[in-house]
Amino acid sequence: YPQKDSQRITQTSCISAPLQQSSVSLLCVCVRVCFVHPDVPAPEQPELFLKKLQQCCTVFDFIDTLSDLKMKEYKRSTLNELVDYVTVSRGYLTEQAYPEVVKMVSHNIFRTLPPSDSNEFDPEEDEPTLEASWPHLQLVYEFFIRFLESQEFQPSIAKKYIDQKFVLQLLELFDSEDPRERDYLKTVLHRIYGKFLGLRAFIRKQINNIFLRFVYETEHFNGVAELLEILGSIINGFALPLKAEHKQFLVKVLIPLHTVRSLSLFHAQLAYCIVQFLEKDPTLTEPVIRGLLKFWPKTCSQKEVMFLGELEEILDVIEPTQFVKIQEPLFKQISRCVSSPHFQVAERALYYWNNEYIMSLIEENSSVILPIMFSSLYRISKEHWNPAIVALVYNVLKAFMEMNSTLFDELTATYKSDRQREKKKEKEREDLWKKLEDLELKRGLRNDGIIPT
Amino acid sequence: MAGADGDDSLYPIAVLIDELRNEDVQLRLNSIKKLSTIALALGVERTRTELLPFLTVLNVYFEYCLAVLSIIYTIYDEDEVLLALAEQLGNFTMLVGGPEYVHCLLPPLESLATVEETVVRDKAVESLRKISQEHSPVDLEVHFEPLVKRLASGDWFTSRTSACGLFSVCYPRVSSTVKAEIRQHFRTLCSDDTPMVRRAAASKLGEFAKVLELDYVKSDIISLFTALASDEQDSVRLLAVEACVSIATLLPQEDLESLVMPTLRQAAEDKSWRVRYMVADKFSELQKAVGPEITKNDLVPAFQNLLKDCEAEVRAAAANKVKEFCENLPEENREQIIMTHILPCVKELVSDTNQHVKSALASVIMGLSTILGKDNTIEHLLPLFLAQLKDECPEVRLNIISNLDCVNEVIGIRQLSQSLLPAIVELAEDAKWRVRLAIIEYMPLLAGQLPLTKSLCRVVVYAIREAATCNLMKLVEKFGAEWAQNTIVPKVLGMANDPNYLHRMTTLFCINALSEACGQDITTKQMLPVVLKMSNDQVANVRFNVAKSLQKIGPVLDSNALQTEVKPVLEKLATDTDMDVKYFAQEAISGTRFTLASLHISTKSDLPF
Repeated sequence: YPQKDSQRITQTSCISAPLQQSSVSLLCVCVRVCFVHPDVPAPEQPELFLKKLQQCCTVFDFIDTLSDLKMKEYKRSTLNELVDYVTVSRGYLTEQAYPEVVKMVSHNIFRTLPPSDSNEFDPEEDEPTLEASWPHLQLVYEFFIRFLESQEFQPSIAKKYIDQKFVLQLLELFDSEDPRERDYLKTVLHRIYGKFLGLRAFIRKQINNIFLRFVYETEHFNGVAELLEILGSIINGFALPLKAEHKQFLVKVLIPLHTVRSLSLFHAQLAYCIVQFLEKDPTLTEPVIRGLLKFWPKTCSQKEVMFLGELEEILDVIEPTQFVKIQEPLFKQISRCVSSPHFQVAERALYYWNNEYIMSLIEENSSVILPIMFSSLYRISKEHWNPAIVALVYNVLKAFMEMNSTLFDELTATYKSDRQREKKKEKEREDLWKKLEDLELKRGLRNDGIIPT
Repeated sequence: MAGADGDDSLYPIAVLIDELRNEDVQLRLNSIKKLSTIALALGVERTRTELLPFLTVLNVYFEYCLAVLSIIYTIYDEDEVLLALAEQLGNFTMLVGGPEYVHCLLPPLESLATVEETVVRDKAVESLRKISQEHSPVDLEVHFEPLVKRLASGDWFTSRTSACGLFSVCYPRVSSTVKAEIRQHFRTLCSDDTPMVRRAAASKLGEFAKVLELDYVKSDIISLFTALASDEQDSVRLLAVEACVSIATLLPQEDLESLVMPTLRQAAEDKSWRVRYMVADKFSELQKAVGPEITKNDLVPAFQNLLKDCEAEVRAAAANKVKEFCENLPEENREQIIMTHILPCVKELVSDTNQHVKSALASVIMGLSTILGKDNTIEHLLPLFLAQLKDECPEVRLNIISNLDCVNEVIGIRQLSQSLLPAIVELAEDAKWRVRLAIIEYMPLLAGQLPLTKSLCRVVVYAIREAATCNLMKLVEKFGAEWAQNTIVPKVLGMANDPNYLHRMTTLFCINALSEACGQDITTKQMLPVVLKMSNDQVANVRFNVAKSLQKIGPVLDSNALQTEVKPVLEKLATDTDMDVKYFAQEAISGTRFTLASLHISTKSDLPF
């Protein structure tokens, strides 16, 4: 890729122009010094550390696999030394080192991510494009994490350099196609969130923005699962009572995330976050379930199965008082799922009756739930195409019969007349609309002067 | 006028409202879509006093108010329903009693403009923009502008993004104090801390600039433009590029250099490829907006850089603009600029490593020949065309072939065929059917000017196999029946024995197309026997196509053959076991008879039909 080469190098040179000129000689010096590294007297080590950090600011072009091979190797070994240095050394993390560390890390990891190779990158179908410069990038991330985790690390000094702008650029990198990079980023962001109290609100807000953009604008962002995973542990640590900001995040960001086409890629992490919220504050159950019902998938059966799974996770932790508040709309939806012609959807919904806790809730409220469920169950037991579903439905009907036999008999007896009443209502509706349309037509004719007023 | 108010007994509002909040989403959606019918039934008065409050409350009804949380679910209905509602309300002016009352549509639309779902929100804004025009200037200031202000200072980003789209419709029609307020609101939104809002503001910047007085464009808009163009998010910066076109068009030439160009130069070299892509994509518009002088000094080098960009996406976008850019260069030094600055880059792109870049170039490169004239085309462009015709990527080859005609106009077909024909003939055997199809489509054009060569016949054979019957007809018209008898007909008839029934059907399709051009003699003597023989084919599809073919070639045949040979075969097919064969045979019989009968009658009585 000859064209790309020259461009890449000029691009990097504008970032680290002064360094690049001297990098060759410096690296040579460094190589000589390296051999004696363990013997370098302790007082000189911090200075050597700074020098090596500066050298590592030089970024190489990895698209061309043959260029600068020697230099790349020098940098790799230097980075390895840096990793060792921050892991082992004690007492050498001077105040001057902080800006140099952040500068080196920034030079290496912050870059505009390249366009995806495939036009419509589908994470489920396509192989991700792996980052070519990974041999260096990995060590830089490794180094940075050790730096953040070092016992000598002092957030009060670092916060001058690891600021909002730094975090913003870090968050943009989560769109990287390379899962290895996203995994490192996850750890980095998690450490930063843990150590920099002043950045927490900012980080949450920016993640909000990324998600909102993802849901309402682009539907494309590779790192949603990773960000949700971090959020899962963040939510876990929220203090009670929950701040309005956090509730807003749940209702306005996490719930709408369910609407995204690629839900399957981050659903597990999303459901975990939701359940975390509900365990913190059970009064949120109603808005959450109403939200899920609002965004219930209309055409995608795979997503419907995911929703049913999440709902069961929620029901597992629901408080009976909350259950009562939401049972009607909830079971209307479940009744629709049970009668879905897609057997996986019907099956997933019917499995609720195998869950002891859910069963106990249904039993307590059978007088409300049974009338909602009855007509679907009765109909499916007669006409579903899939014998396994019919068998499951029989079990459910049996369970209901045992729960509340009087009501069950009543419903069976009135089933027919209820259907007839429904049909009549349907007819009335049609008539109403027909009348209205006639009226519109007449009005139209009159306005056209065809019928005199 | 009688009946201006609805009939209570027939259409009690309660029933209608029940429909509007039916539990079934589909029914609810249906009734919302017929909202105008409901309004009509109620009459204007009751629509205003009863229906509209309900529609505003409708939002509240589905609304789930989390009072504890102090968060309000503004609207809790299916987005689908809300979308229908937002659209309906835009056409409601007459139904609420005309422009005098149009402002009562604002409350429901305002709450729809704050919904999360982008589609709903955009539709609500669209409807608001529409009805803003129906407001009197007074109503606009009393009712509409306060709404815009409320949206602009809303808590959640959705209302602020909606506000961005409303400034430009009310600005021209309000007093200068209000204008100043609107400008202030727009400024605030341009530096909103939510990137979604900044994106919305950036995307409306050009539109807003257009309605502003020139002085304010220079003072306000330029500073906003500069700020947005250096936003920390590339998604905002790239929208500023779009605004750049409108802004540059508004400013006098002498201000462009100082007010717009620094920002534009910076955008063309932005570190994010998305921004550079946008510059490349809007290049022609930018070029027109800044005028010839700046184009020459600034845009030419910028364009060269984009053509050499390190990201393929950017190069492809720039390559797409090569022709348009060259066309719009100032005429006096156009050729010199292209030859010394653009062409060298184009030459490099021909051998680009990325196929999208090459195919983008191939779709426009032929257009350069009209601009550069015959000599330059032959000397500089033809080698490039040839290289692209032989490119490994089919899309590149296809794009070149599909644009042959513009070169034809410049250098003439003789030159074209001499230099390109060998490559074209090779392409007739291309592995990709789209390429073969493109060749077939160009054949009549080429054939008209070419000597009958062996290679051309090979192309023809491919055309036959591809069933390009329409082109066959044109070819026979050009070369005459004799040529057809010698080259085409044997190939066509040979395929009647092909083991693949689709190829056997191709024979029939070709005969349908050729019979008229070949004339009675060849049709009766050579083609008819083959068709008749095929009536015994095992495959029903072939048999009913025989029936169709017989009907089609009937008029060309002499009446003797028609009676003695065609008729018995059709009668036999009419008793076929297959339903379709039977049907088409009967069709053919009645069709053919009709021809005979009508001939008969018109000769006998001379009566026109």
